[in-house]
Amino acid sequence: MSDYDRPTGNLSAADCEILDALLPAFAFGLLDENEKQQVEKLLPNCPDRASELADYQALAGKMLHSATPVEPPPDLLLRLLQATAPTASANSDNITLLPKPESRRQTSRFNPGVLAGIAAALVLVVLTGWIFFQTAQLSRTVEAQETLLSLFATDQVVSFELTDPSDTPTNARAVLKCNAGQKVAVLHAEAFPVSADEEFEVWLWLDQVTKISGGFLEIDPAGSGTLIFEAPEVMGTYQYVSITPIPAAGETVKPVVRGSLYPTLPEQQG
Amino acid sequence: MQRIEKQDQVALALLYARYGKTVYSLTFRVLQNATMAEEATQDTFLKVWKRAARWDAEKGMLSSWLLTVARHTAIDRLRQEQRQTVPGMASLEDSMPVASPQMDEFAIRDGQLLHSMLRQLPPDQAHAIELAFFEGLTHTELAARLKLPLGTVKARIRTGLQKLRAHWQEMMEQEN
Repeated sequence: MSDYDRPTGNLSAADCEILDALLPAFAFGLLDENEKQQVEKLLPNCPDRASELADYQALAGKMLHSATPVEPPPDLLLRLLQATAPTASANSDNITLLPKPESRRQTSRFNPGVLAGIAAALVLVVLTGWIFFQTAQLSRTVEAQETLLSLFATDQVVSFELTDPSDTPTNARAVLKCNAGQKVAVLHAEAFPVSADEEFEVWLWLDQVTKISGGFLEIDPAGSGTLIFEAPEVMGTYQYVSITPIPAAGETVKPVVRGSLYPTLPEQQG
Repeated sequence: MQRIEKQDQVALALLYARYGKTVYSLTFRVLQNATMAEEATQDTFLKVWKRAARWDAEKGMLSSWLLTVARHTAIDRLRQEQRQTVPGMASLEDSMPVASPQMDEFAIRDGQLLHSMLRQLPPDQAHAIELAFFEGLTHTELAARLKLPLGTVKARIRTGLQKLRAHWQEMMEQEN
């Protein structure tokens, strides 16, 4: 019988010391079943080992992020989107368009031929509408896929961090992902100020005085929002980006976040 | 994740844009094969697509959850190749650290720091830890794999992890 297999009826400091030997491997999920059970029995009686266990569990979590970075093939996203794309037949099993023949026969007071014609016409109308709806949905999906693929299909996508430039910065931040040679960009904002009717505008700066709107950013109640937009020029044209509340006419508003893009220039207001 | 739960492909693409490389790196580390790593990465995101509701923001970081799914998926794939069953796969999921999703960036940085620390361990200890963790092997399985006595394997892993913890604490104290 090994030390680890001893009965646990009389717990002592020695029993807790057994934990010291087993805790690291326990946190990493490396113990055999009997050892794992042993640890689970001993743990509640050794509360002073809790922080040690937490340390090892945190290290195990970090191990997940420790693999050497390897670039996935560019078409993996395409395969993923194809695998998750809605199909026209996906919901067809749930659609019942025709009444059951048995009940129709029992309740009908009309000529069966006329009824069948009306039913067929109704089916045609419903089916046509459904096909249009599905086609529109698929078109939107394909459009979104193409937009994103044009951005992510190369290895030249760069992330830019946008942060609060004020003297007393908030946690508001945003990440802009774009490719210098493409017009499409994806912006994701977090921890933005939330109010009932506040919207935000994304500004792309060509130089120190000329800015154009990249679009409006909707923020959810948690302060997060995502915007996919197409700029008038390729993203490499712009020198930095800022996000502000939507200004009233003639009003100057301070940016919630701001960050430099490809060429780094002196910081600007708004 | 709420948008993925509603089957929003744009949200899935954004998730992939943010974590695809990290997930692929982990599956490649486990499987050591590009084709299988691609399949495991795709399977990971498909699981997230189908089970987005299972992620609990209160319980842990999104990246840790995603990588835990990726690790299990890759190890499952590895075991299929080796025609073995997967024992004790739930333990790490239960051990995810509690933190906000905003902590993801720090987690990725910490992972790379830990990678550097592993490289500073004696090679036999680092090898034992990485092999066991990334292939989901228990002490006994690892001893069989390395053709070493069980006690030797236990000692290598225990000593290596104790050193890692000590180095990590030392680094945190220096940062503070």
